[in-house]
Amino acid sequence: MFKKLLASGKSMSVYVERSNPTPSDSEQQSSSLAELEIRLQEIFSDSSDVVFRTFSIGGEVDALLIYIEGLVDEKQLKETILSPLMSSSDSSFSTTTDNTEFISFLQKSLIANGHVKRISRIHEIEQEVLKGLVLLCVDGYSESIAVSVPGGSVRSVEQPSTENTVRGSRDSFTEILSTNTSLIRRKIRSSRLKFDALTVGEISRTGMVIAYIKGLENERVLREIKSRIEAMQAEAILESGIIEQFIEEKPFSPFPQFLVTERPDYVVSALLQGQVAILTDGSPFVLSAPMTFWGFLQAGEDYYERVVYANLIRMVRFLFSMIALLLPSLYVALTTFHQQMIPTNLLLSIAAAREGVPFPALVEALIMEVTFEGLREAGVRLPKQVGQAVSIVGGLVVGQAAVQAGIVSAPMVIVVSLTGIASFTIPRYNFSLAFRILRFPLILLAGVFGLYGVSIGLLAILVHLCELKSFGVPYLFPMAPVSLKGLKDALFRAPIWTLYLRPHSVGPRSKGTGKN
Amino acid sequence: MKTAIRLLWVLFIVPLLGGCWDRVEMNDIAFFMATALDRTDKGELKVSIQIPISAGAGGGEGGKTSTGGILGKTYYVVSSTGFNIHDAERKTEMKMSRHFFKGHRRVVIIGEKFARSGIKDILDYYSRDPGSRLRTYLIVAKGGEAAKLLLNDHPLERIPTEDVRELERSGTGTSVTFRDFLMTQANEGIVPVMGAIELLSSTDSPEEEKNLIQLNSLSSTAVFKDYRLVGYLNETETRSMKWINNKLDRTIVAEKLLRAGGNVGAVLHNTSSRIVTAISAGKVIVRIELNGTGVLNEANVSMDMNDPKTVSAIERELEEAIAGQALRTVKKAQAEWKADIFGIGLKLHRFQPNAWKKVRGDWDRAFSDAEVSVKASIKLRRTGIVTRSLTQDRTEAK
Repeated sequence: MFKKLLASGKSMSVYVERSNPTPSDSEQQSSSLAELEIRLQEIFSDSSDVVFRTFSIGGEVDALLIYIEGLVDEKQLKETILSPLMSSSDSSFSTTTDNTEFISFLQKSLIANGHVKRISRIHEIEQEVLKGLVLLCVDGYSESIAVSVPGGSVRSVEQPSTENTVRGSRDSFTEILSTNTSLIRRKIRSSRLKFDALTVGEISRTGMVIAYIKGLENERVLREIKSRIEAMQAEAILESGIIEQFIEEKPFSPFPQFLVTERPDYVVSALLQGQVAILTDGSPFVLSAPMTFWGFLQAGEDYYERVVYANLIRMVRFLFSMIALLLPSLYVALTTFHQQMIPTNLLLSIAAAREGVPFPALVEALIMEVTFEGLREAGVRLPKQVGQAVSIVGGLVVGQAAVQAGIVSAPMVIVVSLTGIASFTIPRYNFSLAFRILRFPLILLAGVFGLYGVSIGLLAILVHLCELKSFGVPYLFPMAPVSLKGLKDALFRAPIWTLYLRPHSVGPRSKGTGKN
Repeated sequence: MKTAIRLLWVLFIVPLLGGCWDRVEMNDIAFFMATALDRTDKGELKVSIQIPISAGAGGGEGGKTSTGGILGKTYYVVSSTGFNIHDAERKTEMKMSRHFFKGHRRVVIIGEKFARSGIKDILDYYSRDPGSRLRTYLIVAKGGEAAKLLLNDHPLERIPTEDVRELERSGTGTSVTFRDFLMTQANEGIVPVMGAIELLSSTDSPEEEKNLIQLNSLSSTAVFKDYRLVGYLNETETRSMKWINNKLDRTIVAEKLLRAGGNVGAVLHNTSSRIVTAISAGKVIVRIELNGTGVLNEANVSMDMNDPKTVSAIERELEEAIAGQALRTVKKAQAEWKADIFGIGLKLHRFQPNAWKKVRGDWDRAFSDAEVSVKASIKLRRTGIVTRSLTQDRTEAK
């Protein structure tokens, strides 16, 4: 009876040898299991991780399971698909005679799994298998069932490693897209939170999700981000940083135009402010835009802590970001051009320290800054086991010995280390990079023109910042252009209950709190 | 894009148009800490400059790299003579490998001989030279050569003249900067003064002077008339002058009290003065009121301090003493120099402009003929934490 049933559904199409194994979009699945298997074997030739598992449903109908080893939970596969199908008795589907009905019967009654969908194109089969789904093909039917049995080893949700806060949630994004969306969903239980899925990368076929809150988002920004992502021509997207480079407006600006974070609470806060977030499969870093200059200098504690302390910390951060940008250049300018501006006793101390130094202050500053950048880069790259050794060599040997040997002066070491520490107070890593880069031209200008040069450099930076926009939002908003409402949360943060009006630059339409 | 790049080049060139390149490494600078100006016997100007030896003077390195210089000193002095300051500096430049830097000079000391011969020329230089600060203190080396003060080691300060600067700032003596001097000089009805400094043995025993440390003492005030030093006020007179000029903030008063039979010491705060001027029958009448509030800190008198009358009695005697000192100071200025160091003419000019016009032409004479009266008013608010004087006999109190 089974055979009759199956024979009626058999297709008469003949397998044709093709030179190109890549299926076209419209190629339909063959109903002959043997032909299908040959076709798929051809597509997945030399792919040792693709598993073809043939078995028979209820001992009568031949079926084929295709999946990728390591992306599928084998135990669950056995429990939800293999066991119920193999052990099902003849009588349980005796009534189903029609082609599609048998498939839907399988789907409805036999596969004990939540995520099931039916597909009929070779192209789709290929894609679903590659995504990590299990494909069930039954002999005699030109439709297959894709079942999601996710498995394999993934990194679990851990504490954020690059963005630490004293107060605030401790979870961070992982490499798995679905985990990341779930982390956001856990914080916003609203159907207005939308996850718009896309696939990018000609070869990598990376999954992406554009997240926004319906009604709060800036529609223009959303439209712009979508169109730019669709216009991207990339073979592979390995990290969200690649998307960032593809779609940002000013790729040569030292200032970043995206928030890059691994903290779900930051993303949620950004979404609530009307920003649009971009999640990328395989990357724990989520992008969010549009961002402003001031947004990059804010950390979670600015809102989680009480208002007085939050403002104090924010002031410290502003001060230290200025130090990170300006201290070495001011030191060079003052010591080589404007000695009269240094208090007499301090001047004598600096003069004494500089007495034996063979280099001009400018060269000294550049040597030390470059050394520091090198140390920092080494610190990122070096294996954990040798970390101690490098910090000792870097900190003690280079610092102290260089001073003792009279190659650099002690004040310069203080200036450079203070600058280094200051650059770490900037909460967003990508933003602190801007300050690190801009320090060097400012040092050069200071060494050539003194304070005049520093002023020119700062002016140039200011002009650039005024011109810069992140998806249409002025980078210096709410300072330039001035928005009195926005100023409640720029230099200072007003008490939390006064922040219920959203800055209209980002989310123009809705009232309501942007912060939580 | 092309035009943008061209514009960018133009922008790069713009900063160079200033043509001003004054970059100097700190290692190539000689910081002037103090200058001493003297008149040599030949009548030439001798300019001495005190320069810190950076390796020794900064001292930040804890002696590792700073050996205190080859001389074991923290400073050295360079002197040259010339017919004016630039002539001398030109000669100094030949002896010095480093750039001059005058921005940190805080003290200019003028030798007595030079001060008496007139300092008009140097004032022009210091007000004209953009490298010199007008806030530099101007001091006369009383009774000697200014260069000697530069060579006197100070036990605490690494740069000896740093001590002079601190003294000037402390407010105990007369402190006058170039700016003050020039402004006073430009005014009619006031005569400029400046602090005068002398070297004194630190222990007040001159016979041992050779072995002992000598310290700068800002004890007197030099009075200048027509850019020439005419005389000095001693320390008490200096205080009286500052009090009358309302430049005194705080002072220690120690007086022998004849009527009370002993001596007292008090610290006065909130010292102030009021000068009332008038002209009567062609004669200038000046009434000076001195006020002071303070604390009695030392009372070597056999009196009961609990009794308010005792305190008033002490106050009265102090008032008399202070008024007497002030009057003597004014009389000295009137009689010896005919120099209005108190700015009484200025007061007259401001409050009685019509009267001023009459005496303006010969103010020095009018000032010396002026009728001056001084009234002091001292309030002692507290008498310390002991009620009776320790020297007072127990039985006597009862």
